Amino acid sequence: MQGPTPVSALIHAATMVTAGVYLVARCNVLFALSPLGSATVAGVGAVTALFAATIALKQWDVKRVLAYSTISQLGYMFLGVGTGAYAAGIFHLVTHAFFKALLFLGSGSVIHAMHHAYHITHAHDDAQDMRNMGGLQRYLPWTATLMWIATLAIAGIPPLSGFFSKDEILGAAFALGTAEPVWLVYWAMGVAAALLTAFYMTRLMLYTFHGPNRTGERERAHLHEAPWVMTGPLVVLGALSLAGGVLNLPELVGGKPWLEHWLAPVTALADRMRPVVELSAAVEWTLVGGAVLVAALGIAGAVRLLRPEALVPARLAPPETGLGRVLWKKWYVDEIYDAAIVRPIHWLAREVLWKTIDARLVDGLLVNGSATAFRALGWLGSRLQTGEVGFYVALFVVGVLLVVGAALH
Amino acid sequence: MYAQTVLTALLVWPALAAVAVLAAPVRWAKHVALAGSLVEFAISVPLWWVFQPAGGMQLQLDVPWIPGWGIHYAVGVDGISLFLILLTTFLVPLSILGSYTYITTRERAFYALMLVLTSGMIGVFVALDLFLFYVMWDVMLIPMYFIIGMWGGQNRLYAALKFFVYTFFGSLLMLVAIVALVYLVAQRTGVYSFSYFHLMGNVGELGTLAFWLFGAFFLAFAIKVPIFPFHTWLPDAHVEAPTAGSVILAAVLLKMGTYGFLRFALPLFPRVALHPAVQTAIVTLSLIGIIYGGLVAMVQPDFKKLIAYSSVAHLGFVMLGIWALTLQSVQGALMVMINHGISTGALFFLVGMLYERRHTRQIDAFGGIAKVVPLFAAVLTIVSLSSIGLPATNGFVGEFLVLVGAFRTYPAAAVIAAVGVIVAAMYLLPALQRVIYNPLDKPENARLPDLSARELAVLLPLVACIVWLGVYPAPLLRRMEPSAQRFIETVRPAAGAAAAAR
Amino acid sequence: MNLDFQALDLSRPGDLLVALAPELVLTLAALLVLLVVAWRHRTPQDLRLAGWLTLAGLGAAGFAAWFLWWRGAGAAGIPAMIAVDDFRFVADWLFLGTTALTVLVSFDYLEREAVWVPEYFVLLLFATLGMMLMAGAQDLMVLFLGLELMSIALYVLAGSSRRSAAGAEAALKYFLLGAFASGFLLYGIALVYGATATTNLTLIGVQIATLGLQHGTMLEIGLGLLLVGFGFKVAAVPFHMWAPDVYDGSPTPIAGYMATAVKAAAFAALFRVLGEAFAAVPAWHAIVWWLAVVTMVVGNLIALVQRTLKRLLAYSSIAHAGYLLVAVATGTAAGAAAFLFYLVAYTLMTLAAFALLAAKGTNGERDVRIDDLAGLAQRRPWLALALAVCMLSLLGIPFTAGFIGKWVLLAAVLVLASVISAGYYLPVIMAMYMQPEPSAEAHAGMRLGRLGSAVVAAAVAGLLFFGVRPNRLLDIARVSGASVRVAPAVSSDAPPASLREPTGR
Repeated sequence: MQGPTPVSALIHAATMVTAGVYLVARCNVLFALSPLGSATVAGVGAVTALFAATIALKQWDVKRVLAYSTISQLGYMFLGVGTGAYAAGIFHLVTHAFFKALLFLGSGSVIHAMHHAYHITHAHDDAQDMRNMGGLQRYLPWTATLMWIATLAIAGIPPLSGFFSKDEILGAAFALGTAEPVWLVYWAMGVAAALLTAFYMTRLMLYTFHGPNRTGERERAHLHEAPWVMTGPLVVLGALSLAGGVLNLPELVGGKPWLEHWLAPVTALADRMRPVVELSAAVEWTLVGGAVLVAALGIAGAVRLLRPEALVPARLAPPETGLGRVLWKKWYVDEIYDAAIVRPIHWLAREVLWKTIDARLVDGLLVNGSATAFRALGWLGSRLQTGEVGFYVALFVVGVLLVVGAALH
Repeated sequence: MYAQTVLTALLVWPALAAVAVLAAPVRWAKHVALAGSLVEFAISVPLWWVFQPAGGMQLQLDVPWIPGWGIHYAVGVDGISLFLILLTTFLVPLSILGSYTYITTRERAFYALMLVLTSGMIGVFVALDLFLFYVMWDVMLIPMYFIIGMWGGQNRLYAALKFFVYTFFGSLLMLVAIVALVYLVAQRTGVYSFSYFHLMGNVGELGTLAFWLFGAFFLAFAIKVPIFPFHTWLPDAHVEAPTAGSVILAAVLLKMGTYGFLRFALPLFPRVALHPAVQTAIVTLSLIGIIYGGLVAMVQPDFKKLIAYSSVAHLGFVMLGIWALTLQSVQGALMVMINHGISTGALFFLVGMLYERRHTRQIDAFGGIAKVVPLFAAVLTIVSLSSIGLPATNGFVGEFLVLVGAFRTYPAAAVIAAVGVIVAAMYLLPALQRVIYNPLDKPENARLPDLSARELAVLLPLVACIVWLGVYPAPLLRRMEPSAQRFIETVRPAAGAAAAAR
Repeated sequence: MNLDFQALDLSRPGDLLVALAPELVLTLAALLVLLVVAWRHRTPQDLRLAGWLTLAGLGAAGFAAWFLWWRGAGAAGIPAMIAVDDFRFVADWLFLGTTALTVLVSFDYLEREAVWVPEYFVLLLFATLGMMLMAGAQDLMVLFLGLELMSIALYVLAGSSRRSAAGAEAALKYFLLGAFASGFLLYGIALVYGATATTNLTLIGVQIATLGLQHGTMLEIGLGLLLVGFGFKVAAVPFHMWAPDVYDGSPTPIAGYMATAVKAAAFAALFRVLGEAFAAVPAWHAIVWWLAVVTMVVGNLIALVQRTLKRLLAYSSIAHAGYLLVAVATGTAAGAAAFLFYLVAYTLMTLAAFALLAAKGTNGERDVRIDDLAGLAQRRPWLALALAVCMLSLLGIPFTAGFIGKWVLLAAVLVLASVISAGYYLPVIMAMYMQPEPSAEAHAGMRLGRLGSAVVAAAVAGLLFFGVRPNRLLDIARVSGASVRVAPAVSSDAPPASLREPTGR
């Protein structure tokens, strides 16, 4: 995420981060053979989806919001493949690629404009911080519109692509939940994450494109839309985010699930082992309705509760406090890892393994120590050479006694 | 004609070239040496095509030397030693070229010693008579000792003496074992001979004596590999040696230890080697080497010492691969031996180039030099990734084969060893970052010259090998496979028979 | 007079004279040099004349020995006083060769140290004579005679630099301790005579076998005392205390001579005595073995802490005596071959080392510290190389004769001892090659004359040659070692059978 935006768009939206999902889907037989394994995968996915969504609520850096959003959506994908709906997981992987790449590239367009402005005015403000943005819709209309499409897609508003893929996953989870309660917990987490997703994405759009502009008087004159080489791909991705759902329209709405049929040979064996529980149409429609409601609630909630006009530019912003601080600090996960794993290992390697065992014990005691021991013995022996003949004779006689004694034995 | 004489030519030519170097005028010494080493490489290259993978030990020559004691000059090559020979002849010209600006005093002596060392190394890899093997083993001690002691760093006297005495101790024990073995076999067969084949065929049942003999061989080779806890000579020797010395030490000399296990220790004493206690001990020591070596490397402030400890880690993989005795693991072990030679050799070259520019090897003395020496940074990155074992580099091929092969014999050990791959990243990537990516905060680093044509000529062949072997290692694996298979078939059944008899 | 070289009857005066030809030639040479020296002893040229005459005498004696060897000389029946076998001839060459090399090295040394003592050469000749008698002795009295002759000559030689207090101290210590040890030796001979009623080595062996004296008390005590006497001469621990002080104070060529030829003579005599007379007595194997172990270990350990080169070489020779004792302890034919080979190799490397040491310092080289050699490789590369080869050969690195020697002697304890010895041989090399010169004049005074250089070059060449192609020397060693035989048990009334098989060529 610290990398250049196009790189983020490629690897963090679509390709690198989805390798794990691909691995599970590809090894579907192994996971189908182990219900516990599948449940673990799904559980991890659900927790991830919720956990990352909470963090995204309080991030100020545009790309960081998108990064945690990616993690959250990956959680959905894992939830999908964990339930045995491998096609659903892959479907969400595909649609996510569309709208997340769009979001990243769009944010890149925004950051590009901010950078440009700051460069001209020689300001050193953070071009990625949302607190320095605001009301950019006026200056970057195309970007704003297209990013709104992506936002709606990720929130799960029909008939955009994200709605279909997310709904299929949640449906699969709920279906399994009718047989085992733990899946309902996962489903509930998924729904909660959906709410938060809608909320924080709307937050991102509000703070970036709407409300008053906080970039600065001098910079404002230099804000403008990106050239068509940058907005062109956004259009393409926007179209795909809009219409991508056709890849796998559920039969419920009278569509053909192309993707599922196409992947059927791959998942055939696994499907035979774990038959998907069928839900009645009524339940399915209820779920659909609920999902849309949740998404709408998230968006509306953000619009109602958030006050873009209350924001100040980043360099003037007060530090976060309380729960907000914890979320902003990503639940201190990095700090915990550092303290619990990284530092102890470093300490162990330096103090124990290197300085004590290697330098003092093996090298010092055994290697150099043996050399010193031999030297010491030699020194002791050399002390015997006193130069006095009488002493030599005495030692001689001792030798004689020993030899003759040995000869007599 | 070529078949009969090539190995002897490879053995003798460097010694002759050394004489030529000593006779040449000082200014020409390095060029004569380079020419000589290139000729040596040229002699060895046709081996690639002449070698028949299925032909077992080939290109043999057997001439009586001290017939009264059954000592012959017997040489030969098989799939196990072929690539070690090629590795040696490949790296020596690069080392000589890499020393052009590093060695500025007593050049004739240095290049002559390097060439004599080459003779010794080739001799170790081709010897099929245990006396010849021992002689060559000791012969390569002396030039290395002088190279470290005469052209080395601050602490070179201590490092050279330590290297010599430590290795000498092991090798003397091995000498006792060799003589004892020959004597015991002579008692049984009535023929007093140091021939490898004769001993292998007649070693038979030795009882508890075999443990002592194996122990002596083990010690000699364990010191060379080096296996924890016999490894402490390595960091000192590597750090204090001049660049070419470190390269040859890491790339070739360490492989002699593992070669010794493959050629002598295991085939001669398979029952001892596969005794459960011995297996456990050696696998444990290998794992300790992998993890411990890696962790200690992580906290080294001196780049060269870091690489030295990383050698301990890499060779832990080799030992694990050898002892796992599956075709994949043994081939993997051989590949790691070759790959480690290439990538660690390249790393030492690179650190040497840094040293020539700034006269320090401390990682913290650098920072952000990617902007100043981009070509160097690129090569350093590629080589580091190869050392870590990134797929598409040669390092991956070897380690992967070892892990896959070892999993069948020692699953738990393979899992732990796999963690070792992560440890490799843990010690190399931060160092890489601190040297080339962090902010450029020291003014001395702002105007370093990038790689010269000569330095590129040294590094590019290595980088080419890194990529080639990472992408298309099949030609090597194909040539190694029959010999590796034969090795496994020699060792496993003998151990199995003993287990059944017990 | 029918002279059958292969079966000389030593009871006939003519045959006895033939058998003693080398010794007689050497005696004549010694007397001749003595006479010459009586008249001409003032100028350096006189000294040189004496030296060249000595060399001529040594050469003549060597020729005589070679002639006898070439004709396959052997004694008929049990030899009476002097043995006539390959072992003696090979040993004789060794002594004569070593003495010749010492004489060559001494030329420049004596001039430099201003030791105008031409008797030096006479004494060397007498010492050599004594050695030859020791190695060829078939009778304990002849052996004692030879030993005393050699020793007394050496007592005087040790103090030949009359202005040196250290030399006087060395001579006196050597004399006192040597006399003390000789007393033990003689008492041992007496006890053995008391037990077996004979002093002829072969007959002693016969008597022991016939009378079943293998575990007889008097015999064993006598044997023990004999071992003590020999132990002193070879400087085995704990009878070695004289060696460092005496080597230190003696002129360097004499120290080298003591370290090589004297030890060789004592070892040869010991070997013959134990092999011919006491082969049936099991007691001495273990004693000699333990002496060997202790000598090896102690010699190497104390050498580790020596700072001056002369004392280092002294302790090094003590350690090598330990290695040689291992060969003696085995008592086998293979041990005999190993022993002779190692003796030759050891002589070459030690003598060359002492010769190089002689070139370095002044004041008898008592002051040459290892650090004084720093940077020698830069200034005098060939000298440094020669010394390095000697050190490496002493250490036992392949391609040197020292390696072949160690390898044939092999024993596990030897391994450990060798590793320790690396701790003091290598610093010499390190000083020469790996340390910078303290100043430009540090090695200005080091001078090895033409003759000395020739000696060193020949020795080093020999070391390297025998390291690569030891075949011929090993064969000679084997054949000679095997030529020392003990008599089988015979009953007293049957005529003694011929003991000698014709030696193959």
